Amino acid sequence: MSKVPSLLCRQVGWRKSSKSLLDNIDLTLTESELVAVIGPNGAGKSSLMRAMMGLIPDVQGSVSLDGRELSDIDIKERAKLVAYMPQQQPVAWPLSVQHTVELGRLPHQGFRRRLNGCDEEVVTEAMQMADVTHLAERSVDTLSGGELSRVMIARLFAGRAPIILADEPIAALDPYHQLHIMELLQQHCQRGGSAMVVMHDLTMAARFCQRIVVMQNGGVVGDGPPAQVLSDELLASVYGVKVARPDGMVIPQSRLD
Amino acid sequence: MLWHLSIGSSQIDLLAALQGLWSGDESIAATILRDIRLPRMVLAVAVGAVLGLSGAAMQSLLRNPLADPGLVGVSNFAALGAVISLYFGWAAMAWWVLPVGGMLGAAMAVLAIFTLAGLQSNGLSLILAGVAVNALAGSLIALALNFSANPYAMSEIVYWLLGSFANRSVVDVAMALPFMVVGSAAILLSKNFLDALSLGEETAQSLGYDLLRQRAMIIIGVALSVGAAVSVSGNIGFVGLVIPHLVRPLVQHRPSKLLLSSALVGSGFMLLADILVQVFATGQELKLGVVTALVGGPFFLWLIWRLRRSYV
Repeated sequence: MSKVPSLLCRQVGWRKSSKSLLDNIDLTLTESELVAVIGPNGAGKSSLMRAMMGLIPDVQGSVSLDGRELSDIDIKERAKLVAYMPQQQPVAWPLSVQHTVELGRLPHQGFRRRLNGCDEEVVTEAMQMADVTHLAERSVDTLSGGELSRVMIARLFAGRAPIILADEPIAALDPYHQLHIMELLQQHCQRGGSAMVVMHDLTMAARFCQRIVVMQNGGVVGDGPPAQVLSDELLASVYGVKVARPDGMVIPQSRLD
Repeated sequence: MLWHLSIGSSQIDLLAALQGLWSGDESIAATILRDIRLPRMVLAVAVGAVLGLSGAAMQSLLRNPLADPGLVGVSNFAALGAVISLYFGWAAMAWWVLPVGGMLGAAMAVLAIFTLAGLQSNGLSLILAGVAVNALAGSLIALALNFSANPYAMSEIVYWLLGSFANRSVVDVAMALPFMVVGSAAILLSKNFLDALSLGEETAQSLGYDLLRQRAMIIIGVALSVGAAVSVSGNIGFVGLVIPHLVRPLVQHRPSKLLLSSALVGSGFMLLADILVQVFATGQELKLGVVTALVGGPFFLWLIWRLRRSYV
């Protein structure tokens, strides 16, 4: 993989009807980094993803890709650099899994959309990676939530973008595939790519990510290596829970009220 | 197409007429062919294509199989625009006033539906918005009829509203065709966006599509083509609903493939329907719009019946 541009947030803020959803966020996502974004519901994790993807038009501050403002980059070029997977949404039509994954190649294709050999190879590989090859001919409306998630992950990988932003990619998955997808993201970053992943599973975050960003009320309240960030005090103040830590796991144990 | 050309109220020798037309002689048969039958055929092909295409585009854009220019009031608003320009006599001022009236009406309707229903793939809110827009158009047309200068003008408008390809001249066709072509081109240009959109708006944006621009292009495309079609043929409903629905399984539900195939099938369907209308004509002319409504109404009911599970 060629040099991976870093994605930079400087004083990013977003207000919607006088409520501050993102508050003065400074973040950098650089080469070879797998970063987990955690935080309670409504903390602004998804908004942060959308801001970093350039999906919020009235965002304050600046999001830049290797020094270039995101809004100045041609949208097609941006799509080749940054891939985004929102929280699970139904697909509008009963497309086949194969065709759905092929949509990930759209940024690389011209108007005619002829899949060349390289495209086909990438799609096949992405489907193998996400373990959906056997579903290729199934229509997406017949899939379970977890299967659909994996199809979307295949779609994400098919774009071959060096930077991946994924909003709860493993939320609907069984334990086997949770591990599988986290490993794939890890490999992606070992090859030089970078990924920022919203998740709720603290153990998974601690295990796979070198860095964890903790959000609360639209702001970042913690950013660093898991051992440092996932302290009892921070988890208590952010989530209002007490955690148990058997064998390096982080397990919510009781509510603090 | 030849079958369509060979049918009409007077018997003509099609081959001789075509030869006559080619060599430029002015036999009655050649004149009938040139001034009556050819415009009618071209119109049937073009309007069928435009309605099929617009239906497919709107369904893909709104991510809703119930969207159709007729059903959600776009055609009616286009008709309203045309009626207004007829009513105030503006249509006589310049050749482009009538189609532009139709297109403005269509554009207003699409914008109103967007504003009312938003862009969620929620069938109920779309249909409600469509009903509201349709009712508004209907009442305004009724108002125009109510105050029309004389009964003759009124029946003229009513007949025109029913939708037909009969008695359209070469001029009518030439007036509407360019707009239909441009509008259809705008829709076809956004085919890849419509594919991306099946994954949701944000994913489509992340795949490299400018949501506002692409949406605007489709809205303008639908407004141009449906507006022009309605202003020349009146209201021919349900084609945009039925055709994409029938074609969709044949193209594996892919929105990009649905566009052109719906246009083709729409053309074929319209030719056939217009042939049937003429074959079964008994004295009083049977209006094409009436026939498509008679076929499309029950189809719509069936579609709702099949989809009803997703609304409860």
